[in-house]
Amino acid sequence: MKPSVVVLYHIFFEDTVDHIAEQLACMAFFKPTYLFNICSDTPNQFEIKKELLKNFPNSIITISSNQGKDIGGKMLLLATCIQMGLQPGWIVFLHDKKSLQALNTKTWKRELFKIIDCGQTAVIDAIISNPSSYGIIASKNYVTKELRTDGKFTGNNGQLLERLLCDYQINCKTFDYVAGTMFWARADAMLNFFKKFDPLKIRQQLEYGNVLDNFSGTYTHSWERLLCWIVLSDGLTIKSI
Amino acid sequence: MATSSVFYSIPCSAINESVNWFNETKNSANIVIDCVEPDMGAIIAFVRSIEFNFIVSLNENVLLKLHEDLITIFYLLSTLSGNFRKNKNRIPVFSTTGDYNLASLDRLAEFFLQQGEAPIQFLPIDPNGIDQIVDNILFCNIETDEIVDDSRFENYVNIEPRQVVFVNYNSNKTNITAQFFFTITDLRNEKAWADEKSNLWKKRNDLYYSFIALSKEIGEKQYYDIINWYQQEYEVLPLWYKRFGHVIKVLKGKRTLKSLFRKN
Repeated sequence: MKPSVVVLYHIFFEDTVDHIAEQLACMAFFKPTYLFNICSDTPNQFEIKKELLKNFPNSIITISSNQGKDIGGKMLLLATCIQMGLQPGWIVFLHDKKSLQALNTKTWKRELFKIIDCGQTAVIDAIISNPSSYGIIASKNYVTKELRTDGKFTGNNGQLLERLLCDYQINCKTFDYVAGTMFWARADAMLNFFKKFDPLKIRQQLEYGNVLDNFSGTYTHSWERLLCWIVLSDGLTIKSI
Repeated sequence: MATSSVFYSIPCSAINESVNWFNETKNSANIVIDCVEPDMGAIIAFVRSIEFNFIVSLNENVLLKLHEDLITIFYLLSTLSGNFRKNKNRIPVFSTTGDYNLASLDRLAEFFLQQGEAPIQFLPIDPNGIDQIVDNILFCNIETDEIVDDSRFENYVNIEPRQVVFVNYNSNKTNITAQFFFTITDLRNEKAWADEKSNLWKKRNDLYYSFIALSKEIGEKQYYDIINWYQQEYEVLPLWYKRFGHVIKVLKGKRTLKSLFRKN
């Protein structure tokens, strides 16, 4: 039996809705339940909501503050999932990434969205339909390692990461993560964690507004890593495609 | 047509699969949280059926027993509501005793602030009052089967409320004056939202300008990082060493022999 799939999609940009139906067309193969979160800073939020309901009539749509950017949006949708009692096999994390401050913005986005590409449907279906040790499926060019030297993280988010790993009792052998936070994740690993640690309480910690970690560490970017490590700490691995 | 300003109250305890609510005149709900363990599955199925056209309010009974899970549910329902933000984050609180349990309301308000939301404003309402105007919202009580009186709504047109909440309205009857009044209220509400939306577009413009500036700053930093690395790793090397490097490039096919003799 095919596992059920839930898609959690955070929307910030006003033009995302113009191509979202096309973007998600191939996901229809998996018959997912869609949960969308629209940022309340987005001026045409109600028009977006209306258009989403037209294209995805059974979807759940929230509108919330810009707390924690896409990570905050995904935390809210995880909380919604839990409250609705959903028990999917896999969760797909997506958002309308642009990263306008980065030099490689178009490539980054295109590569990350490979995970919902029509060309990858059969590959992904084979992975999720068969027992395996894979807990995350992501685009290979963006699976990266958080650097450690002498047992300590060396990046801008290092100190925060050390503290959060301890506070949330996350123990994993490797510190690979998906840069850009778009991936398929085994739902049981994710939801078991978030039933223990309330995602809305975590969302409170996140920074408000469009934070960047180019110059210093942030909770938002730290949780980008932790979302992957939650799954890896269950003994699961990342499958790059 | 879906309204953005007229809501018919329904307690969440009454929402179940057998509720068949939607019709042309009554298609927007004020969901009153009156139980400490609301059935989220039933509520979500209901709000889906009315295309998320609802607001949320509180009954005093739940304030006495407010717990963390209920606060979470209340917040999530607010984010699902199509009108929470259009309503400027105002939440009616129904109390017959006048005791609004301020400590519980403060807990709720604090939770919303911690989620990055604008401050919420609680509106105290007596559910047994005939008609009440609180902060530009008209709260009406209309008994079952009572025909909506023309003159009653003529009075309200002059008050210009931004929203109408029917506290009790089990009748399907309406009249043309009421419909006209609802349409005017909708237009007023939509105009206020259009002004708010204009502010959001201005902020969005400013955000794009800041992205451009940040992109330039990051680009400059990356450029100087590369230049400094180049200076540190290559320019400091002696001339004879660099010239030897050029010969190796010719041997590897990365450069032409002719280029060795060009002045630049």
